[in-house]
Amino acid sequence: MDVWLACKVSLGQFRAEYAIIGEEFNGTGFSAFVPTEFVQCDERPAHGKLVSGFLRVQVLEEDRDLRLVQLPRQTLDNGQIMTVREDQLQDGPSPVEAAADDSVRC
Amino acid sequence: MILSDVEIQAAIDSGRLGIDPEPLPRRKPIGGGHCPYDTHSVDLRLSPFISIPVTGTYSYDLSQPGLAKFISDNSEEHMIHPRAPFRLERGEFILGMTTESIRLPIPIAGDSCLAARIEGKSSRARCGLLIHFTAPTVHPGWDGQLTLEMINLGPAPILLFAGMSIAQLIVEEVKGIPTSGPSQFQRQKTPPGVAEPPATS
Repeated sequence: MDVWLACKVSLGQFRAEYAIIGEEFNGTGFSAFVPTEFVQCDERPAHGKLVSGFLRVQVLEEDRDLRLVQLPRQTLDNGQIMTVREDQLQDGPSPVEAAADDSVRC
Repeated sequence: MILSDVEIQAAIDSGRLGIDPEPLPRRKPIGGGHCPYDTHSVDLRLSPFISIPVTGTYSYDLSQPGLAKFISDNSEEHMIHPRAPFRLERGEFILGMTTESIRLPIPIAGDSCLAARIEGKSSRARCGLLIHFTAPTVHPGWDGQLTLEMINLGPAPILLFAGMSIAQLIVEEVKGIPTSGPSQFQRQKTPPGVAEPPATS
């Protein structure tokens, strides 16, 4: 099942990717380079500028309010599978489609 | 088990392997010309887009959680002009990408799937060009272009042309089907963040 994980988004090293920064359930940060197709943003990122956004992930396992999720790419810190809180995730269609009209795709 | 050129092409035809755009021709044409296939590998080409780290007084703190952004903030994307090569100087490090996107779908059932690894080409290596210096493995489930860590260790600058054969992909059979189900994580960190104790009889 695909869901969207809240994260911060910045430009990547290539035009076809973004740099994302996220948090595990315990506040431990992680970052990764991911293809743009896996990311939705509230506004367009710019060089050096972080924007709020969402990363498409796959839920592998549930335990109470925790979710084991697989990211679309390996993080630079600790693999491709993370534990996050349920409230960090949004279900269903892309968050941008469900948001107000002035939301912007990355 | 490494796939031969014939088996690589069969895997493409069956959908077990995706290479887009597909390397062609599949056989060396009798009138001359390049065939990207060798006995057990297929050539991949250099994309026009490269990323060049910016020289500065900064340091990479590999422990910081925002490392991806930091790396991006200190690099610049360039496009290799179609009619002019990029001159990779002695000791210079850049990131490149393959033109081709590689897809290694994990089947739902069966007893095997495919993985791959990327290796340099000997002609380039003889000039001192490395195209990767980390694990070359492309894991089952991968879908996308491959990033190349390129460095010139040779005695002279190397000219990089967009579209040149830059690496070879070697495709391998993986025994078993990797799973993302709970059984994969026995005795590893579960969502609560603790390891399951081993079962005792």
